[in-house]
Amino acid sequence: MGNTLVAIIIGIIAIYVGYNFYARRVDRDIIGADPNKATPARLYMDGVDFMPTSRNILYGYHFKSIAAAGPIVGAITAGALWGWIPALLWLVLGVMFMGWASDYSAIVVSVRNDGNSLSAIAHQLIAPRTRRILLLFIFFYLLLIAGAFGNLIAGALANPRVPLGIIAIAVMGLAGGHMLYRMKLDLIIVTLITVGGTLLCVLLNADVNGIVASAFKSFNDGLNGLAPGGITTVLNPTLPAAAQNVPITVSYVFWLLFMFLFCYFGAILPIWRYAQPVNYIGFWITGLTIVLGGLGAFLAFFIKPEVATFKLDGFIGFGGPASVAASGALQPLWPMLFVTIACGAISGWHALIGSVGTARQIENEADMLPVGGGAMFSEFTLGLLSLLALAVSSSPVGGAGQFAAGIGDFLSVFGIDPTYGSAIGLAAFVVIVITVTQLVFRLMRVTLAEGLGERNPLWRNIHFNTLIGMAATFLLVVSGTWVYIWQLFGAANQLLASLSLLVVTVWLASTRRNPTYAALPCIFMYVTTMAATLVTAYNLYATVFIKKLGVEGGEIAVVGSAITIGIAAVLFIAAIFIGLDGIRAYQRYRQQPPEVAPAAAPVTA
Amino acid sequence: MGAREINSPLDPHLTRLLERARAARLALAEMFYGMMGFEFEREAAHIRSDLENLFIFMLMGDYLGVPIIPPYYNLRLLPYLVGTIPYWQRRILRERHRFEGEEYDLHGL
Repeated sequence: MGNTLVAIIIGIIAIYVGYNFYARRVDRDIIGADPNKATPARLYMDGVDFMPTSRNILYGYHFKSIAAAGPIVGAITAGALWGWIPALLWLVLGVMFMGWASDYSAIVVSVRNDGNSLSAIAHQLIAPRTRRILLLFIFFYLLLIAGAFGNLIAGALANPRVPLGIIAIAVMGLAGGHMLYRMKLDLIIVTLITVGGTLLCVLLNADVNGIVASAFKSFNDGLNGLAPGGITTVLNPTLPAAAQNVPITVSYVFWLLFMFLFCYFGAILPIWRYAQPVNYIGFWITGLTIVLGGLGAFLAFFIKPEVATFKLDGFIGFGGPASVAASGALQPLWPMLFVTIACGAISGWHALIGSVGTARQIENEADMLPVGGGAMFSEFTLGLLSLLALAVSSSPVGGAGQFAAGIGDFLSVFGIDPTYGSAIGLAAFVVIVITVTQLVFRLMRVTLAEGLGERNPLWRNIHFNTLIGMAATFLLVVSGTWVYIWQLFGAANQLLASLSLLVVTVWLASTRRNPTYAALPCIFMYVTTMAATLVTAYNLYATVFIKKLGVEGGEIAVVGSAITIGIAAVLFIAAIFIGLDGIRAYQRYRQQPPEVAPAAAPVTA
Repeated sequence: MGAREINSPLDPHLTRLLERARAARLALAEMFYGMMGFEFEREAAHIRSDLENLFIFMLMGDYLGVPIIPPYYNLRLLPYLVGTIPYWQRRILRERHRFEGEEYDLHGL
């Protein structure tokens, strides 16, 4: 039986050892970060994108950009499937040997290549088609995130304790953008109004028997009264056999549509008007929850040992819980654990952000490691905290409910009533997920416009593109296979990490550096995620497609699972093309004779 | 803390400690700013650069022989423009990533 203190100490040791004894060595001996070298921020300063910025500011900015929903949801899901020991081990080993290397190296490669994005470097170093394939890859990656998160949000919003805080954040986001950019109010005043207002609404909605929660409950009951058995049923093969047929209720669909409306504003309005202030408020709420929750987890061992003790099994089994095996699904620890926890251990999306945003603002090469590697090690703590919240939670409700109950337990160390503590935990969970989702829809419409806009001007219409993205997401969400969609997203994310490490490996080879530190994680993640994609496609086929095919009312699940299998196939084939091109490029650079330094000019008397 | 009048053997250590504490406080403040305010600063810089691009474009047209605003005012603005021209050139001439016009980072993936 573990406890929070032991896990926190393991986490601290992992960060200390990984950063000081491995990451610094690579930075010094292989990359040879030189503080005297001019960075793109200095060379191409344009006052906007290329701008030398202090390492501390960049660290904060990069951390904020990478840390939120991914590490939280992944750790919760994996802990429940295999137990806290495998999840903890993967978080620790993943970040120590792979995660920091991926984030840091993407920044390094970009800094050493004039601040170019990773896809532009792939185009240059590997093959021209790599860039196009990456765009296709990114679109399906975004669709999977939207599907996985859409399901989570709709499920959480259907809980009567949640909606007011989310409605508040939308209103406060609009108000915040106006106050900041139009009324030009001070950021501190705007923060007090918007964050305070949102928190107040979260707390007003906290008590399940309170006026607000009761009103939402009556509202949901009223909606569900329209179709008492639900609109349709879907198959969730990860639940116990008796509960696998899950009804899609009217209230669930209503809150799903509400989520789409929330994200629609985020996708079409100017970024400063809505999406940015909403993210800002969301980060405060998440930050407060995480900081207080983390402190509570640490202090609980001394103040409330019963809270600090893990209730979750350390190791559930190599194949996951018995209900999974009974459904006919495969959830082997390898490869599935490594895609279920994506962002807390290693993430491909970080590499893209790092190469486009952060790398162009690096003032000094000595800042690359503290910013890229440091932020990734910090994100790992978020995954760790989520795992701890799940492990100490005694709530029988899985997922978000269990995480919220765990946060409520941690906050109870400070004397906060668990009712309010868990409400804050639940709100933080929904907020961080919904703020990401609105940006996913925004990027999805841009990708559609880029990919198809040349063929038909309709694809350049922002409303049309957003609605198409939402329609595809709707189908994925109501197909009911959340875990599979999440794992497929994890696989796509980790494949992206593997592909970014491939670009790094090829670059290291092209510059005659030892590529081992990037190549080994690249190979491991490539093989693992390709295997996980196949396993997920099989799971969808064996436990959803076949079981619902020909069954009355099962059409949505069949179409949804078929589409998801199709996405898995596209990702798999795209990754094979990029992998083959990468190997060819690697061999090409390895066979090139080393460049000979120009001979010294003859000395003439 | 201010200047200390009493010189004790502890003074250099204490001074160093205070300097480190001050540096740590500044670093923390910067990290906090990076998480909270830097995003808004960048967005404001983008909005400003869009307007600046348009403004310089108008003036440049005039310099190249397409009169848009009276040359008198145009020439008076020239000294203010000179320092900005290299930045403007880099901004408008460099290759852009497909998603750069949008909020590229997904905050947390």
